[in-house]
Amino acid sequence: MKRLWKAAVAAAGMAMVAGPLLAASPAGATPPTGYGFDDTSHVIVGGGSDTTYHVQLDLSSVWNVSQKNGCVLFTTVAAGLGNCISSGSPETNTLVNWQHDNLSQAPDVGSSAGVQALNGVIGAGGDYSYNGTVRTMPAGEVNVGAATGNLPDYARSSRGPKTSGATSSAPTGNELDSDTFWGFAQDGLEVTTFNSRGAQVQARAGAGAITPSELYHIYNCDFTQWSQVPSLAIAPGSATDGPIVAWGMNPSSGTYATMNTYLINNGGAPTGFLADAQACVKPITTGPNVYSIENDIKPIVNQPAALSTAANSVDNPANWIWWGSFGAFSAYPNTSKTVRAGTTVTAIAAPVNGVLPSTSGIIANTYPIGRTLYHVTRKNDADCPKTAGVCDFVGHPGPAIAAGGTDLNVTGATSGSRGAVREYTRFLCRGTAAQQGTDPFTGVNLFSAETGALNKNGFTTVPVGLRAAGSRCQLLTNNV
Amino acid sequence: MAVTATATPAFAGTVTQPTTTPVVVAANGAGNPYSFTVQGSGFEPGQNVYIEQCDGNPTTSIFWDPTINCDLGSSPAPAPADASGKVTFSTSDGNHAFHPFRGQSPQGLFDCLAPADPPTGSGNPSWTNCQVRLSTNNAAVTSDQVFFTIRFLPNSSSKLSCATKGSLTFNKPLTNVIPTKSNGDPKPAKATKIKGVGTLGTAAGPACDNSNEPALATKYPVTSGSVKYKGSFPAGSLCSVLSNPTLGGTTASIKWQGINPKNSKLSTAGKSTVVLSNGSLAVLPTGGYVIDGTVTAGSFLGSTVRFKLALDGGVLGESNTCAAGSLAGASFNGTMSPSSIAVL
Repeated sequence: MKRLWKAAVAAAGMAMVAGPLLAASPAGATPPTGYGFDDTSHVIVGGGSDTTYHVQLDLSSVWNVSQKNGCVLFTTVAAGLGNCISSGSPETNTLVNWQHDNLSQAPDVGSSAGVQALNGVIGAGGDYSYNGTVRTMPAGEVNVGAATGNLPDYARSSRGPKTSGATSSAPTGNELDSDTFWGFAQDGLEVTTFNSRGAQVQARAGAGAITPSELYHIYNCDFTQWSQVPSLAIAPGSATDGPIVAWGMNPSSGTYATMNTYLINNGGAPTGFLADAQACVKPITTGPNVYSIENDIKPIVNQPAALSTAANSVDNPANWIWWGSFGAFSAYPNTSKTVRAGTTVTAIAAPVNGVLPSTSGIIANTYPIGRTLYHVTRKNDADCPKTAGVCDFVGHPGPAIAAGGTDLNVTGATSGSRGAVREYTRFLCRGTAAQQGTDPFTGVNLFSAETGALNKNGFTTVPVGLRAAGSRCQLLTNNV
Repeated sequence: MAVTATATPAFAGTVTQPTTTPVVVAANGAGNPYSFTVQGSGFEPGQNVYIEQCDGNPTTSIFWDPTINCDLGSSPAPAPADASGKVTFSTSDGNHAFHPFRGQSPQGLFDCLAPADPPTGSGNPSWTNCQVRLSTNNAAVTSDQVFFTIRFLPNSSSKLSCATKGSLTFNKPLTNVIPTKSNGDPKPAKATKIKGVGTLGTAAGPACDNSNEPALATKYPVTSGSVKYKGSFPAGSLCSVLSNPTLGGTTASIKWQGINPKNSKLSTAGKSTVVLSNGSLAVLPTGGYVIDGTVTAGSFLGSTVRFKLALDGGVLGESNTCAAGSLAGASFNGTMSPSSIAVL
């Protein structure tokens, strides 16, 4: 860093004289070779998932503040203010946010909405702009739709890619023809019951409660009383029996999609099963039905005219069942516990097949409803190098690092906002601390700072067995 | 047990089990640390309480952060505090059992090692005084967080290692009741005598591992044997001595046996007198003690002998029995949690 600052002082002196010339000629700068940097600060915005909204804000913050260890800035108030001053030929990447890009997150509309908007696909609602984003679809993208408004530069998703079926989120019907999914964190779906039901259900963990089949029969409206759930062994008509109230969820959400997929793959639900479509599944408003945003119990707690404590009341939270992000519910207790009119309502994790959600089980990939959380990029912005169609970071090392070794080789755009997406993606997925720079404020290596940001939101790193070799991310892409 | 909480909140966590710090964590034959039961109190009733393993950085460090200095990948399912604010992470509860890690943390944030462990090669900061944290949130500093230190038992290459079974008797039985005279004054405190017997090797299970036994250390390679214990707890010892064993001066007389090649019969191969030092509570599956002693006479003179005694009732169980009345002895006959005697 000392050497850089000496260069900076010299360059800054030059800039005092020739600042406007430098600023007007960013092409004269020589950004680090092999990266997506163009020595110009860009604003890029992610959009989509609610589950990953907060963690992406925190990861964005880690990346944003690391810019202080980046290039020396042009500080003259003139054209080019805030861009890099050329300090080498080429400059040496300090493995941080070199060109001082600025990342932000658009509102949490849900994973599927985010991926659809990333790909500019126009649905039944017509052309649109995703408020909170800053640019229209850039040139140079493949397999994207015709939306003309502002769109996200990358998407947040708490579900994996849809690779067949409707073309609602990707023109070919396969999101991997348009995008690369970078799994950067691991979470679990927490099936939750409320208040006194929580302890009752947890006590049945040893009996294997609750099975995926039972969850399906609850959400398929086959079981309408708690006594009908075999693994819970509740006597019909007993003091703890009562009507099952199964709450629905925002259908654009990845948390919703992940549960449907789980019930189809493990619970015996038919292909195409959608929980919200079942008659007994409860919305928060009707005409048309609106389902609660995920990962926060307050909308459902506030739905009844008043809460009840009567055993046979549908307004008694002890009769409710829902699901959400274990990470979000754990890290932010205000989302899983609330007080209404003096009554405390607490969401309590239910075991699935006898297993309670835990971060040790999630990182070990042994919790039954584990899920990976994704950062989604358009393929031409950021992708992995491939050998025979398979991601191969090890076989295709990236640029040499000054201290030795090589960087992670994320391929893609070489400049502009798309290059900024590429470099943020590389930051998310570098495989070792040696490939990361340092947080200028705390002195913590960005590799640890990134893990800290995941942990702050209740998530873990991606289980080793799911990672692409040489990276800390899971990679889902194809050869298109 | 000395514990530290970061503030004085409405709810302040306390660790009630284990009762000593640091907690010495032993490993099984595969080198994996044993799980151990942890209990806490002082939490908000009904609130989920989490347990996780942290590095050795003091929480007073300016940038201490549980999301970086602890690894929530070590955290089992949270357990709700009961109506009195107590919480238990029991080894017998598959969802809540805490399994300490030795080596690299699950997310690669730091390493926890035993003294003299070789570096893992991870490049992470490494610590030999890692901590266990109980709190109501793994993702943030909480006012109720509480810590205790763990220390992994170093790997020791032993000259000789034998499984052991046996029992100890206490005379008079340990109790929390202080005897009094007719006028109500306490009687002069007396030491509690300890006597015990045990078997070794084939007499207790598998033959001793004598593959590293120096030539001529005993008359024949040791495969079996027996042991007698004699000593006392200090005068005035109450049930709490079970959680903090003060055995200094207690002796173990070991008779080593091996196969006499002339007649193929089990014969005395040597004898050792071992003077024990104070033990430490060790994390064994049922809870128990790790006690070192020095051979003061006989075979292996000058060597250290390590006794790992896993109490059948567990330290907590025996302590509870004692507190409920008295405890006349304890046995260590477990097979799931084998005890051992090793000459280092």
